[in-house]
Amino acid sequence: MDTHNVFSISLRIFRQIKRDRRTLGLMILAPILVTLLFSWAFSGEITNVPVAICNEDVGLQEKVSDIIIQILENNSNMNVTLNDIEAFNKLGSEYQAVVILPEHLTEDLVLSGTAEIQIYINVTTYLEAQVLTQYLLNNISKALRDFLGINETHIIINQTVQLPLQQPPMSYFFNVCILDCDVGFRTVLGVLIVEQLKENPDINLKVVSTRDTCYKSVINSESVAGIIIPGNFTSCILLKKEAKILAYINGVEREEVLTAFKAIEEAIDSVIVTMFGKRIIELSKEYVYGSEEISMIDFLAPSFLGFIAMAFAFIISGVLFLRERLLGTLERMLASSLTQTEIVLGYLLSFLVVATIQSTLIVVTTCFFSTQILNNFLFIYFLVLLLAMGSVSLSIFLSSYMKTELQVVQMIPIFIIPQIFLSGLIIPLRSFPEILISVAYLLPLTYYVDAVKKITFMNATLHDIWLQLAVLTAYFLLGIFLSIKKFRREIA
Amino acid sequence: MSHTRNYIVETYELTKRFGEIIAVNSVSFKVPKGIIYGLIGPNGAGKTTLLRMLVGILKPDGGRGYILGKDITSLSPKDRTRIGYMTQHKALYMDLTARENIDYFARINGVKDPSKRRELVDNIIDLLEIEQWANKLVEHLSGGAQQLVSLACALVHEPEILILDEPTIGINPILRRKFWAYFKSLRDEGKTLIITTHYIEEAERCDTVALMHNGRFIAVGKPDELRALVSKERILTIDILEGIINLDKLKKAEDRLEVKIRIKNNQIIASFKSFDAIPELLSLLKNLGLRIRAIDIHRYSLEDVFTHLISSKGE
Repeated sequence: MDTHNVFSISLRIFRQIKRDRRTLGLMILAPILVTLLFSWAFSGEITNVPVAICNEDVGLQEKVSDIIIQILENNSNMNVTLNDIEAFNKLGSEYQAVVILPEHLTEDLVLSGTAEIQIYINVTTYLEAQVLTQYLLNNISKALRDFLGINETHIIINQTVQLPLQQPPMSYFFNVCILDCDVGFRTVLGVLIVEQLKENPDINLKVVSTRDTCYKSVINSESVAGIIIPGNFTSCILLKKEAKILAYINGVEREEVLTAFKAIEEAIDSVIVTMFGKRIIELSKEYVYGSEEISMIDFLAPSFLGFIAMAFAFIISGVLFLRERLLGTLERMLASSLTQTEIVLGYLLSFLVVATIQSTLIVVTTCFFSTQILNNFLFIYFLVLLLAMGSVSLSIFLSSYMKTELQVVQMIPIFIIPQIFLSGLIIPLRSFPEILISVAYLLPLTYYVDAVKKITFMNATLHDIWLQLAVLTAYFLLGIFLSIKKFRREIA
Repeated sequence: MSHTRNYIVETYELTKRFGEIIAVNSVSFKVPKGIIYGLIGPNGAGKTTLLRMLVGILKPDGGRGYILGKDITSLSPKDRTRIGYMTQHKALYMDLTARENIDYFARINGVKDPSKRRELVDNIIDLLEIEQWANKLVEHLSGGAQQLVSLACALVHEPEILILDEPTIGINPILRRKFWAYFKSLRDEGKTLIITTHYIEEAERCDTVALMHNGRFIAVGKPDELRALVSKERILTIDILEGIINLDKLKKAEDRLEVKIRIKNNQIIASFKSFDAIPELLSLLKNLGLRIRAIDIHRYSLEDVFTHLISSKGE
């Protein structure tokens, strides 16, 4: 191989590109314009977003009745008996008071702040009645304050004072029977939220049992968000009127994250807001990859570099090479001292330079908005060039099956546009049916986009993207192999 | 691998098939150094296919061929720099200037040194007198000018052998004469030229002519030798101004004068072997009361020869 020959071809191609002002303008302006367009947010309908959820919520363990009973039992002026079914028969004799804690006591109190507690008092003096009533009310209020943090509770008291004919001696010690019917708050809010999320078609919910699994699901890109509902979720909402849900986020999949969050907020609204009238949940976001500050352009620019390089290398080299074939200059080159390999390499070299210039234009344009791309740009350039070379060699091969320049242009809807959609460049791959996803994995840009996202946002090393790198290299080598083999066959 | 030193090109039963069609059928020929070798034949005769095999861009299906003593199936890049090939189509980059085209073909034919290349490019531009077009884009040049630039691209690296596929197609007669003047001067410098054409009069200018038809060489030789294949006779054409031509009386004189006479419009066409017959024929015409407007004597043209050969062998 003679480098002089390779350079000669490249130099000649540059001259041709330079002469064609319109193409030159397109090659320079298109990447800049499209980068600017991309800097405005893109939003599309995305469904089936994978989300992992770990629901540790155990619900509200305590009952209001337990607290009330405990406080009353601790009162030295009372002797508390629980759940005596004969309580009313013994009222006035054995018991001076019967307290009924109703079934929905806890539920009513936490949801509406009011409850009906029935107290039946049967004592012999008004004074005793007053003292006992006061004891009970004070203690119940204290219990509610301790437990729910509420000061005002409406407690309905049925007070019956039975006055005997003669006044017995005053006593400040009472026997009280409590009939505890309270079942507590049995709904686990975390479960309700999970149910809501399951029904949402936009997301594909995976319920996991531990926080660790949830986190790893995001790390491994199996899910774009991992939601943790903590164990005290229900009790915090009920007792403190505020709760936290933790979300691990793969910020690289920006569009998917937005969809996932929309679904989560809808679920919270339908459970909590309908129950309490306001949203009292804080969604605390923790970015596993990427961050909230990353703009649309940060996400798209690295992938977009590859697309532009691939598309231009493919179309321009295809047209130029077809022209060589049609005009007979290829025949002349083959009769010259050039080897077939030198011809292909000459083309590759010139489009390496074109791809580098275009990528630099995009990088510079992007830097007006964000300099994030500069962090890994050498690594990205390497991948861009690999992708562009694959495009050139494949294009040279395919152009031998074409008869007019129009046929090369027809490759745009066949080869270029599908890659915009199917490579995961703009729309996440997961939003396509499976058959299209398998098509996507035949397209080189898919691997490029995958690799640059990992590099840019997931701090990937060569080790992490070896598969993508291998596929891109294979695509390039296959292109070279096919194009040179095609030459040989033409000569034979 | 050196073959026979005496010949620049040699082939032995060279054959090329495209599917059912045998484009070149067992062609054997030899081209010595320093001549203009013309390949003539109708379109589809296999001329271009033969040339493409000679420059090594088409592999033969049978037979052997050598150019500059090297096997045509294994020409090295260096061997190729000794060949100048001008394709049938102009084969130029329309979006480059004439000079850039010439420079490019010099580059890819092994002229690496920039100053040497510049000198060669200037030389060929001078030689072909194309200075006025040198810095114009090829797409803006006339067909003839493009053809000259295309020739320059084949010549610029000073190859020893020039293989020119229909170099003068579609250009005006004056420019065509200029082309042939270049070809002759190149031959006189000792270069060898193989030229295809379907202009008969161009074949007359070659040192050796091969007539190709249906993939075969049906006749090879100097133009005169080819003519001799048909006949040594010459032709006399007499335009009659006045008088009635009596063919019967003329026919009676045929044997005595050793001529053959036929009549076409107002012309008497007589083929003859000896010039001695002419005065007698003219006096006979005078006796018959015919007045002569013009007389023309010529040899059989190659066209006549080829028409004859193709109609007898080609069928």
